[in-house]
Amino acid sequence: MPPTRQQWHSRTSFIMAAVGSAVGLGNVWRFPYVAYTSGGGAFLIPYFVALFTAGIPMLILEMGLGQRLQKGAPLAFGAVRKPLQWFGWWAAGLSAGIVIYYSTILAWSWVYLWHAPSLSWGQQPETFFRENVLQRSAGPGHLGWPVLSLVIGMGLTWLTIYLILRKGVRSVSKVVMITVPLPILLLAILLVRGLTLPGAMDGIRYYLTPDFSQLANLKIWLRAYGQIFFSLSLASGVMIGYGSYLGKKAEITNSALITGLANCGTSFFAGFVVFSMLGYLANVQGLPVPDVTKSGTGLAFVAFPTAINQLPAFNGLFGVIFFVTLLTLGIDSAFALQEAFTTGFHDKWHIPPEKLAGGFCLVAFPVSLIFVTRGGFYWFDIVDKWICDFGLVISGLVQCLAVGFLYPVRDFRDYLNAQSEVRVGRWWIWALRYVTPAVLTVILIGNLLQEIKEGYGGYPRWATLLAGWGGVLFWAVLGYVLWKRPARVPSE
Amino acid sequence: MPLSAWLMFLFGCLILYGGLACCITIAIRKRNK
Repeated sequence: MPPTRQQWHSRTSFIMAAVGSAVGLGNVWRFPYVAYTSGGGAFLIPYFVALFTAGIPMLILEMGLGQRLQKGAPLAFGAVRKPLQWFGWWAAGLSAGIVIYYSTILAWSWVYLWHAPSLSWGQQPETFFRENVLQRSAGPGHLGWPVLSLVIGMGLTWLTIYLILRKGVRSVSKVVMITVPLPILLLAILLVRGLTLPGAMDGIRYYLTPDFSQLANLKIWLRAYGQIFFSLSLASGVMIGYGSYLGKKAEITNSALITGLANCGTSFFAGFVVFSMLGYLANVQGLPVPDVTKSGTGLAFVAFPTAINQLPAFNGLFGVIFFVTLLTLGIDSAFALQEAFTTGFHDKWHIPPEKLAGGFCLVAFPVSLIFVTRGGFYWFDIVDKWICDFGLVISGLVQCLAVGFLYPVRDFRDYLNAQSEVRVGRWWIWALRYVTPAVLTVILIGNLLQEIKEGYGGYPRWATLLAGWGGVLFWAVLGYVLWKRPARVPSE
Repeated sequence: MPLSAWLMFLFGCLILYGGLACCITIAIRKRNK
């Protein structure tokens, strides 16, 4: 008999894990900036349209497919059509690729957590990040040796992931009860601190004041769909894997709604934290808010440390709170991504979770060290761009078309409605078959044209070919090998 | 802060947190039935 499949402790632990996977660093360092540069408060309109016409329908699809077939992405797609198992392995492989480079941000966060009590980034956080933490070289061709402090941070990251995943969803069920509410609580502390500082309301004014003329711009609508798509951990097999650990009678639709709304609610909330701090920073430095506004690593590792320096009291404590927030936001997304890949090995070859967690971390740790070399930042940037802009977009497109047209989708909808608290109508099938594929196709063509015309980030073509296209294709080749390897037939 | 910014704040809260509260209420009611 094959080993029995593990299940979540409770529905709450499943929803917590799904929310933890969706809520990550992007909610803090990407959403507020995208909203601010895309019409402020008016961005909420395309954002909500994208959430209800693409985000939640895809969440329902992924959670439902995993739950119905009781399989992770590779074998679930293999059950739709046999050759699609290859696609399933590729999609899950992308999530393995993401966790390998995503661990770099967690390694930086560990290093900053170490420096936070003494504020050792000094008065020039930008120089500190570039020269002391990254020790950045001149370009992707100058790789150099891994930076020791980041190697330690990377080791801590992989050790944490291993400890969380070693007992499979049994241990994840417990861990998410801490790692999901904790960063939200810490964000609330930072919000109270931010709102009580001078200039905070100026920052929030920039965040929320709507510019409705932007709604006529197609790019803003595409940006809203892109933000929803990347923020909800879609198309990488994560939600299929998590759904597969639900019982056969589990509720799906309302859980997907709760996950989607909780994720976007966290993004909206994080915007107040970010812009209250940026408003204060602008006030102290005598600059307009747009001059201090940054996103991504520039926000987390430069703008925030600068703002923390300027706080009137308890600077070190708020530094620790901020970097613990980043670590707890990131870690549950990281282990969810790893689980999405390794669950395929469990399904096909019945390898126990402990061996899978240990084996993956042992392979991934040395590979991830490339991103903490002196030229690693450039490789991190390229791999991230290609996996998100090409890999995940293609994966989402294939997933919607495969389930929309090759799977008995009306029967699937009836199945979901029979056991869910909220019923989905015909709109769900339309969203999967037409709306989401159309939007993803436009995004994909736009990304391809931009890459062909302008390249990316001024990097040499050999670097984007090797790390960008090479990274995406590597998982396709590995996916083919894994698909062709015979499954282990369980002994009686 | 201008009135339009306040209105967008209320709109965001209504859809996100109001929607979340509704979904959680539905889940609790169904469980208790």
